[in-house]
Amino acid sequence: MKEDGYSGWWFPPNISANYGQTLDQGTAIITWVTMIGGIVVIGLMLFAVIRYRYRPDRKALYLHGNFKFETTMLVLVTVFTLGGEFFVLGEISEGVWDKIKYQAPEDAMEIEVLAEQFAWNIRYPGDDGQFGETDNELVDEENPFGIDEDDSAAEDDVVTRGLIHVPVNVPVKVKLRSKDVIHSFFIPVLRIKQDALPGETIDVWFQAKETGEYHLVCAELCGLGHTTMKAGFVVEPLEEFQSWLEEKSEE
Amino acid sequence: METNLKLLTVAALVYFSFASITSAATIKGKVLFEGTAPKAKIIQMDQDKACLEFYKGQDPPRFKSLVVNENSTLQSVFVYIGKGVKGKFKSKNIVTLDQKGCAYTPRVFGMLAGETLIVNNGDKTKHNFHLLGKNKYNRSANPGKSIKRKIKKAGSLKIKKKKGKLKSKVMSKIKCDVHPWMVAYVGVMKHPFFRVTGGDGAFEIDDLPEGKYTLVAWHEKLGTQTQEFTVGKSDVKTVDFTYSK
Repeated sequence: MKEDGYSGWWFPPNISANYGQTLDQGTAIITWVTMIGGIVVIGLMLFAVIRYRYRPDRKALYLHGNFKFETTMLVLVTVFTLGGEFFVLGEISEGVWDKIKYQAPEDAMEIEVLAEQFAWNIRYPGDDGQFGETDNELVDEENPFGIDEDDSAAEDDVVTRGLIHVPVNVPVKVKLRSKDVIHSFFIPVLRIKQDALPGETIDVWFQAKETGEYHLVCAELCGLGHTTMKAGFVVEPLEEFQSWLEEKSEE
Repeated sequence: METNLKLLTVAALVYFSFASITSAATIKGKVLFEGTAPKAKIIQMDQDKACLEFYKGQDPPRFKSLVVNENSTLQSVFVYIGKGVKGKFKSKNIVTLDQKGCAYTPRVFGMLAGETLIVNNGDKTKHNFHLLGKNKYNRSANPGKSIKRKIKKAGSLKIKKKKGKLKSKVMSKIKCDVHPWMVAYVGVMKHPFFRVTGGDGAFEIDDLPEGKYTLVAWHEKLGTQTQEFTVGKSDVKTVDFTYSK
């Protein structure tokens, strides 16, 4: 276990600056609990299999049930399981859920991500910070968002396909949409996974704390080309990000 | 007697082939473009390294949906006879569509219903050949592999787009779902009187029997235009189309 998080060597790198570590912590807790439980149960089973194995002089016994013992065990197990679950859900998970879903910083950089069979389309609002109007009738292979170029806010919009660049240490809010079927926006290094539903705009936010080149993949089987539906995810210093965006807007 | 028959046959063949050449009319012309075409956008192929690699050291690839030639004519316009052709035409030709550099070549092409289409994959990545319209078909091919498919039905479901501006009765769209920027159009025809304009923006349809016809020009972005014309025996007629933006 690392000091700054709970990622073990078996995890992909975790570059999340906010809730990613907590999610890994959750995974670690579940792993340890189920591992200990598994060892106890399988251990007892192995012990019973070996200790009470067949012997010519050994006879099987038939025992009547012990009502008192069984009832006590049933109640205890129920209380422990349910209690544990409510504790985990209420005390630990809810806070994390709240952070992921509802605590996107106000000053987060906004981008739009549109999933389609089988590609990721990304739109940056440009200098004015506003997304231009879109019209479904304008959608084609050259204009995946259907941006209305007559709209003044659309002029500086930057659209990329299969490539996301984000600045390091800056919160980013994604407006996630889907064009056709259910896709899932999954950036493993950020521990983000959010389904994209057709007809809905879903907010996702994240903050990366380490630069590097990673991947965005689709985590929901969406058809024939599902496995090829990926995009580059590049985290870079703010200046480099800005010059990249400028370069893209000139294209 | 036998030699006479042979001679007669040869003579008849010569006569009929000659007659068919001389009695056929030709319709030719140019597809002109007025105005300035917007600069084509760069195709962003970042999602597939094999596509990126193909263009390494070259200029980045651009969309070819609106290509204006140096002599102000339009490329990839499908020109065909819409109405007036009589008779049935059959062919066993093979039409080839190449996938190279994560793009289709040719982008616009025509074929006769009943002909076989071979789709080659010359890229180092998987493509899927997705034909829309009446001859709906979808299949993927690994690098170096080809797809062979007989295209049976002429015509198309209507391609309708941009507030009814773009309609076609013959064009079907071909796309690759793995690489959404890849698009081609095929006109599946009942007769062989069609051409696609190339680098000179010109077309020439010959072997046309005399009659009254409708000539249709179709461009994927600029829509359809029609003109009517009548040709007599061995006429050569010029019809130009003009698109503007």
